[in-house]
Amino acid sequence: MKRNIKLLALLVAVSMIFSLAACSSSNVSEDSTSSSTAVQSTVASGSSQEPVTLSFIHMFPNEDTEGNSIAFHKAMEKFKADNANIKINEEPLSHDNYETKVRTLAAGNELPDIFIVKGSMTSMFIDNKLINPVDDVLNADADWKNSFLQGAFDDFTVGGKNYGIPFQMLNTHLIYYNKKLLNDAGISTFPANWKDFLDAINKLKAKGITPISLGNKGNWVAESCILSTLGDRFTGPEWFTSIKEKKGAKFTDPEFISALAALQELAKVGAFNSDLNSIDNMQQKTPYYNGKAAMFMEGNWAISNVINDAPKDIQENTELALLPAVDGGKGDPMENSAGGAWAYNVNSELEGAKLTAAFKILKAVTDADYAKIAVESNAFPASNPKDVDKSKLAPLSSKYLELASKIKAVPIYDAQLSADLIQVMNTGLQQLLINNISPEELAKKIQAEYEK
Amino acid sequence: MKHKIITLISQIIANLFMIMFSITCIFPLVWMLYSSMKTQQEFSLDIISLPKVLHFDNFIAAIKVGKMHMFFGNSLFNSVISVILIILIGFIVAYFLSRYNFKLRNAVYVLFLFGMLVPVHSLLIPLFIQFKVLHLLDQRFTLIFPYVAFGLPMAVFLFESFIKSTPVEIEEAAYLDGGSTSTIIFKIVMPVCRPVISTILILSFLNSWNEFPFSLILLRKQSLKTIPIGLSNFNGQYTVNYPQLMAAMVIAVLPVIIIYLLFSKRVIEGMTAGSVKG
Amino acid sequence: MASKTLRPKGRVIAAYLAPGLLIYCFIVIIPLIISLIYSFYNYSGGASMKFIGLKNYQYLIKDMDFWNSFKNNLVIILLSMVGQVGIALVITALMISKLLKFKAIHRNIIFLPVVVSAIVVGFLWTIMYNKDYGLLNFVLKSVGLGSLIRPWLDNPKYVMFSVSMPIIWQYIGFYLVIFLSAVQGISPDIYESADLDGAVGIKRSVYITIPLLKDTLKVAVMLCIAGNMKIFDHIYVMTGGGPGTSSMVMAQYAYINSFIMFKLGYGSAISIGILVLSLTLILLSRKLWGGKDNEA
Repeated sequence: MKRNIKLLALLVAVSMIFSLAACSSSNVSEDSTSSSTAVQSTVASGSSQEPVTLSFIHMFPNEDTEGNSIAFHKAMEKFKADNANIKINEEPLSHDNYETKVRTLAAGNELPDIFIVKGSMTSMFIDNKLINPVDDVLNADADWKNSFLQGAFDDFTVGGKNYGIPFQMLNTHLIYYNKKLLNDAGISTFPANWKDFLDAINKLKAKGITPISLGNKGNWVAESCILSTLGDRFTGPEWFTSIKEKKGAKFTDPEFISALAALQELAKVGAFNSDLNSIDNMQQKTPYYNGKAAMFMEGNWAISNVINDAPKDIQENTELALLPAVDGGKGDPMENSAGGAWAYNVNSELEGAKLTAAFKILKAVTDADYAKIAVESNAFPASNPKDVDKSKLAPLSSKYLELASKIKAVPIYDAQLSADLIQVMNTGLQQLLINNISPEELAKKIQAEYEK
Repeated sequence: MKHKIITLISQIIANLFMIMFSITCIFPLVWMLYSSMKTQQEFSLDIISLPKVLHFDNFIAAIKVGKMHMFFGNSLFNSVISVILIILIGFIVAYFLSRYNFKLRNAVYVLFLFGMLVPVHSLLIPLFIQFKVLHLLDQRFTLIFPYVAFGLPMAVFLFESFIKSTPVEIEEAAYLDGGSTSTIIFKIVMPVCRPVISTILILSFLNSWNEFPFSLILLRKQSLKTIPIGLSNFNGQYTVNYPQLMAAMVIAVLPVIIIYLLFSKRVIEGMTAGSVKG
Repeated sequence: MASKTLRPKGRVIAAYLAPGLLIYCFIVIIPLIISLIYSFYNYSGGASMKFIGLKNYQYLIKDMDFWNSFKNNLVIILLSMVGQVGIALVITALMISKLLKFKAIHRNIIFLPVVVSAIVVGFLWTIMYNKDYGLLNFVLKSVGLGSLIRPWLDNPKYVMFSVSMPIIWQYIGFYLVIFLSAVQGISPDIYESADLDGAVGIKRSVYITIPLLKDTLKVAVMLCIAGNMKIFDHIYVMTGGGPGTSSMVMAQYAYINSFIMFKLGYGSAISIGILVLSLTLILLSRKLWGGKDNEA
């Protein structure tokens, strides 16, 4: 017993030392920022401004090495150096945790001054009067407003007003393919129609190669990266608008069922690996990197993965394409599921100097200057970058930018439809891909949830 | 003779089974350790192979970028204080539950059962609002409350079952000698509970150390957050830097292993000291 | 039990229990009551709350996804009862018997998986089940049972068994620690008097140990039910609840409703449902045990 107590005492002592050390080190860093503040403000003494403190919750921890996070930190560093009077208390969280936390904060009406809203959360935030439209601010700054890409605001537009400032432009569907493997199988150009596409899949299969590597464990990949675009090939964009505005279109319409059937057909002919529901979007790239799979379908964020992780020869052979046109489909083959998905906004209770400062920060992490930093970090911003140094880009990024300039944005299902509907759709797609449910049944299930 | 052969065979089987089982138990740690020395590229090409070159950059990154030392200190503070309180409070509650048949005994018992059965996620938002109203968010001691409260049920039940199985005569004699309740509880009963104290210490340290949702919801200041939050920061939206995550995990798992090795001997002390030697 | 005249007065007991109960009620019971109140509302966070009475519960009773996930929890509980508690008991008996060598090493190692995070465990078992380089398929092939190879995590029929294995394996050490500490309460004389040598010895040590561990076993069974009714991380890492909803468990279902779909009211109703079902299961296990009411 005595030894136990001694050990405990020792542990307490150690933990105290640790926490004190943590305290003091955080104090030091706070001191250093305030001293640099002092230096800065004396330098910029001409425009001496009232100090403002803002709280800011975001999803870009330092540890995160994705392009968006790298670009965010570069832009923030610059902003802090230029605006010594604005003190920012950041709370960075990883993506999934961010979502849990921001919802809890919203429920408890404890949102910080600046935060990021997901497209599908927008209406809930509006209903609870947590956010205001950002149109006035944007209209007052034409340069800023005009720098944004077409379609960037769509996920946050409610009743004709914009409720967020987007920072990224996701193209959730891209086909990454290994042109050497396709060539070896006798496919010299990427198929331009559905029949040729199926034909190519059969040729690849005959060679013992997995045609398309798919990791749908997270259950959003099949919907966000494939169906959102495949669906559009069949239904065309008007159908989706009608669904979103509840103007008569149904998930049981033959066009949408055909899209589901086409996806199931791919699974039935063996286009995908058999463990598609138990590996995730990171693991789906492993066979591709090893030259055992000819394609994978994922959004533009995967470009930086391929650049960083793929062996050199695979990287050099990687080309990008979109799903081909389908017979009788209403969609244009250059249409592609794209959008901002997440956007910044400020607490609806902010006013005065704080409000001005908050939008000043948001401009720094979304405008054309930010876009330049982002593109050079292999991220894809929501606004047009100013004079990018092309030599700084990896070849794959350049290929993408060229393709992206021709793409017409259509909605990403999970960015615009309600979360419950998406839940039904996503879990249903997992079953569809293992032939456990027919396209018609799944369409009925989704429609039933839609009508709730 | 026949008896001896059977004994020998069963001995071999038992030992083989245990050795194989132990190997599977140690493998995850070994895998974590060598994966933490791979590059991201090596890891994404092959998840089981050994690293070609051992490189320790991931550990440096885990500490420098991931600030693991800061999270580490906070976790240690929360866990140690919580464990002490859990043992103290749990022991007292369990003592009265196991020795006395007072009026509300069953009610108290069921109350503690609730805490073990309720899914923590359903309490997050109510608790968040409660802490907000009472200005308990974002303090150094914020997490101690939930850690102690959610650590209590298991401690109470384990203490209770242990105390029940120990003889009551010594306490009765002490009462007859006029010993005060506190003397009896702490000087007579507590020392007897040594093995179970070590067990509860290990298990509640582990739980507090790994606790995630409360740390995420109730704290906002970066300087107060705990290890599991630090670990989760390595997950990007679409990608995870696994080797760096593994390096951080190796750091994170060390204290629990040390605590276990220190106190597990005490769990077993009587056994090796007694007739049955290992 | 100390005789009536000697026991401390009710007031004294209350004073001792007060601090623990206060903090406990503040953290667990009050939020639980608030959560119960939410479950009568259509609530998605913020100010807009609409009282809908028992509608959430009416819906819950007919919600097949909920009952399907309850069934999955039951599968895990049953497998764990045999796997975790059962195997831990056998190992405890082995530790007492004289058959086993290197006891201290085994004891230390078997606990290690308990400290490893669910991410790592889930990850390694996914590798184990992998169709191309998985250890399981490799072993099956090399012993000539190649025909038994299945898509372990991709077929809704077997997925629950596949995801239960890692959970069982990981927590054997947890129960082992509990049992080993309980064995300390047993007087060594009992073991000394019994001959624990040889094959008969192991049988005997099981027979002697189980009845003496009765109270601890009850707690272990309770922990096993409680823990597995709330389990979610491992399965989330391995299958995310899929394919479809075939490996979805209740805690994940509650989480998805509360934090992904943001139906806080319904999510609370699910949680209360989980609580009620768990309590029922534990009381049922007590009844099967033949315990009386005064054991609570």
